[in-house]
Amino acid sequence: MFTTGSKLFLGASALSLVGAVVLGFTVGGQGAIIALIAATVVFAGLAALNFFINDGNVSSMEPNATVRAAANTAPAARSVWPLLLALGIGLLVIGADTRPMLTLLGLVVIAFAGLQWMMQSWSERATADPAYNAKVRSNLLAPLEFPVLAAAGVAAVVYSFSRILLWVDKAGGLVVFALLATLILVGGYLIASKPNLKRGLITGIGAIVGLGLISTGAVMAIDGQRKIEHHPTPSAEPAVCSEEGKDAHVDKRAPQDVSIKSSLAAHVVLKDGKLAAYSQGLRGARPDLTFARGAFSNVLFKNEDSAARRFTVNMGQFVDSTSGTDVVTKPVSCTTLVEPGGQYFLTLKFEKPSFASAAPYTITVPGIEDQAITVYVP
Amino acid sequence: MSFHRNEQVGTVQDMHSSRSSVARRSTSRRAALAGLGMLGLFLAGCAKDAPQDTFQPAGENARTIDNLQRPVFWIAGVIGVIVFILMGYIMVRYRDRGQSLPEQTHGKMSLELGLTMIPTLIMVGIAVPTMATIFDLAKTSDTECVVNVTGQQWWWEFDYPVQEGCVSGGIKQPIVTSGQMPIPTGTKVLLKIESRDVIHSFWVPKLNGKKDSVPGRTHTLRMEVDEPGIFSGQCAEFCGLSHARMRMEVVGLNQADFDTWATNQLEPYEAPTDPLALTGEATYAAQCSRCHQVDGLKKDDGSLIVSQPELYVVSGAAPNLTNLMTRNTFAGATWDLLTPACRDKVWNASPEEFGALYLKGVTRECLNEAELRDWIRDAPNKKPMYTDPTKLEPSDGKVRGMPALGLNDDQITELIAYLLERK
Repeated sequence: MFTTGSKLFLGASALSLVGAVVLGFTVGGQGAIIALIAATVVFAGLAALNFFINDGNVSSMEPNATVRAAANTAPAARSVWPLLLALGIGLLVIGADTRPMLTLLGLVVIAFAGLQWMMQSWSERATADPAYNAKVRSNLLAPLEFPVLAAAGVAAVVYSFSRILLWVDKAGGLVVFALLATLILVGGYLIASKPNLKRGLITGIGAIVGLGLISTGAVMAIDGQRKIEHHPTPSAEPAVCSEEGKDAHVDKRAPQDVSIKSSLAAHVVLKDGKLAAYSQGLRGARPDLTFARGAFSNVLFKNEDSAARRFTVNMGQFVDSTSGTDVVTKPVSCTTLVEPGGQYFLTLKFEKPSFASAAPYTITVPGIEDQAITVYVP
Repeated sequence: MSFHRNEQVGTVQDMHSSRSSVARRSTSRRAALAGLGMLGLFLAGCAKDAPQDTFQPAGENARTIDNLQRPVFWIAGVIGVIVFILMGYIMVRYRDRGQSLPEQTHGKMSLELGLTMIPTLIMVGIAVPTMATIFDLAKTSDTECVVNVTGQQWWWEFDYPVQEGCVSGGIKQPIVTSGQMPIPTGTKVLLKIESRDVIHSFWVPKLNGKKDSVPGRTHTLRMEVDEPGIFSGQCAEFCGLSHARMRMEVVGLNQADFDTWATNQLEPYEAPTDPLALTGEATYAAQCSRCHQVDGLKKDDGSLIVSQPELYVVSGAAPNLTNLMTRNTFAGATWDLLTPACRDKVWNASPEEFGALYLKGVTRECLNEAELRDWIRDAPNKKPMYTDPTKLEPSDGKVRGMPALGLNDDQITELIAYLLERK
């Protein structure tokens, strides 16, 4: 009836199920219960497998037992899986002390190598026919190996290429990208136009290019990426917004998103010491802007002044007396310093109407006196 | 024996004949039912004076679309009919009757060129006026009035920015209203559409096409009304539980009437004089003002009451009720504030009479009190909304829509008396 192996796995399956039920009724926690139920299913599957293959034993009543017995098959072939499994364990250990990502990678490698090792061991002794055994192994594992190896290959190429782009400077990146794209296009055309080319030759060229890319990427990753400046984001710190930006960095890379550009509520221009607001549908420069309450509105600041300037939105003044003492707040939001000729977006949201504020809502530029755009929020 | 066999064969043939006859009848019945269904669907499109009929444009932009869609409809319709007739003919004429396979040929240059060129020419013929229409509708440089339109679950807010246009002499202070958007007739109005929560779509079929309202984006849409009247619209992007009840109306008023409307919207707050309404004011201040704003309403200490919908509602907004009774509808323009008789009088008024009737607002005699009372008593029961506190964990305890406030009948009566004076 049930084989020894199948009994073991059935027991493990039942134990997992009991564990899941007990855990569910006592402690709770979805993750652990899901893991135990998954274990129940996996153990049940293994039990069925063992039952189906009779634990890999051959009945002594079998007429050709001595010929077909697993013991009569060829010795185990060389295997790379123990090596990969060791690598996985190594990554797991190193990752535990360094980067969680390495731990995760180690777990994936262990799972992959373990599965491969297990299936190879089983398939080598599935029957006495090595060719059939190889076919069984391929049928079982090829659907897993191809996507995993393809994904790993693509990831390696993409990662290597990204390291190359991060190593060269901005202009160099453009050249490298254009060169590679041209190479792929020309290579693809040549291969397509010569259908009689040997497959081995194409594979060889592909392997050389791939290895070259990966090794170059590895070298450049070790050497480190080019110096990338960190740019401050828009701030809501009054101290930063109100000063003339001596403490802040000039951002040369203000967002240029096409999606924001096509979706402006208004834009404000600083030119010749004058601030002017423009809003679609309203003609000419305006001394005021009206924004809907509680909605996000994008405003573009264009600095046409000769000095770097910051765009600041003063969102009024409110007094909160709920705690017994008056707490005064002056919400403010601003961009980083914008270089001469530069532009910067600021997304605004006014929670309260302007009439509720003790001070008017205004748009100003620190350092530019007597210039303010009045903001209305109904 | 032979006779016996023939008899058996005859019986089997009869059975086959009977079965195929039954199958034919069943197929015919199904075809007839399907035909009836299609006819029903087709006839459902017939309506006289449907409030949301794209084929009855009432403004320049809708007419521009109509001038494009009619010829395209006929071209596509004629081609569709020809294709279906040809398909039907070929399916019947050349159906499989056991005949031998016809001669197989590989390509015919003239036929292939013709079948490529003719659709290309038709598409080019449609594309040119379509592109011209798209650019025409996207123009914003010639608009004379701007309205900010903000969508949220499940109502529309309209605010009129400070500007030189819209009103004779310009708008000096922003105006905010909801549900109904009055605009001056014969004026090119630019709507700047935003959203406070999810994606909605602003669509008033008689006046222009749809335009999505997307959080974080400002989209523009032109709007123009030829004559005074009310034009219905509907949110056209599924936006949650009460999407079907997220409506809006554009109200066309001639310039003088629009000026009157705008002036009235900015009138200072007047405290109620009626004792019942005065009690209602206190109820309003205690209950409703947490989310709804009435401009000018003050606390006992003289400070302004400022609503804080951002603390209670996911969208961070609730309709401004300062001039509620100057509108004809409430709750996302879903229910009428006017009784059916009064509503008919306003909606069916001639363009000459419409302005005066609309500007009268809601009077005591015309108030649709039953609907308003139901709404105040238990809003979520009337319009499905996410207001169950036990299910609000993902929204940090904030509601989507208006919750039931648990007011008793007396409080509701007082509140209605107060709201009736808000115009």
